[in-house]
Amino acid sequence: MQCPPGGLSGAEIARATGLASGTLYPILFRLEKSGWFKSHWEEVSPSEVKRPRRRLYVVTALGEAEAWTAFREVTLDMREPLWQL
Amino acid sequence: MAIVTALLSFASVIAAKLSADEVKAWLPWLARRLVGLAVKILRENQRERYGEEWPGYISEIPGDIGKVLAAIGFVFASLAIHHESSEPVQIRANTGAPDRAGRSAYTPGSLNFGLLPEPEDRSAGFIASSILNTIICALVLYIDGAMRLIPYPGPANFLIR
Repeated sequence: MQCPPGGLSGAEIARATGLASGTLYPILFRLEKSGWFKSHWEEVSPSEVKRPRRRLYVVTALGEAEAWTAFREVTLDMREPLWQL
Repeated sequence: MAIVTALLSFASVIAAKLSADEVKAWLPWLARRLVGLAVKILRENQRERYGEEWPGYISEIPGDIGKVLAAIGFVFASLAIHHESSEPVQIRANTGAPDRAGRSAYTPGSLNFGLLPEPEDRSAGFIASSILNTIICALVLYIDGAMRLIPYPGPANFLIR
């Protein structure tokens, strides 16, 4: 859940998570729609950098809190004995 | 006979080189067309954004085959986004717990458009899985047909003395 302040592009997230584009973008779409992520355009001129602008994704405070909650629940589940699951 | 074999080898090498060059030249065009198709599948209000975002993604990928594969992924992604943009999204932190409708809550990463489709009650998942399955079946049939063209050498005669 460490995210650079500027955000990560879709390709960078795909590299970090190992998800293919067809799987990643529906997830990003849902996370953004639910307020866990927000996105903005990279502030560069495409003619200067000679490539299209990138859309950068940032985790929101809500997304971070919910992700930590989910993470804690998963780790708590893992500590429970098998017969209590 | 040796001359004919040499000429055939030379011709096949040239044909292979020309084919490789041709395929290499067409792959970026194919990737662009696939991204265009994916953007067309999206809803009107999403086209401008993804029409700019996805070429940027493609430009970050090295290699033409990787670009085409990513573009194929965008087609499946656009099908899913098109479908999901019409329904309200409810993401719960408690992964795996059933929601009010009794269905399993959405878990990031559970959408799978891989080679082996998961049973999903979403039309986008069904369409994407059907397309993938058709491609896989065609590929299997093609390989099967190609294998049949290889002459059967018969039993291992070299073992019989």
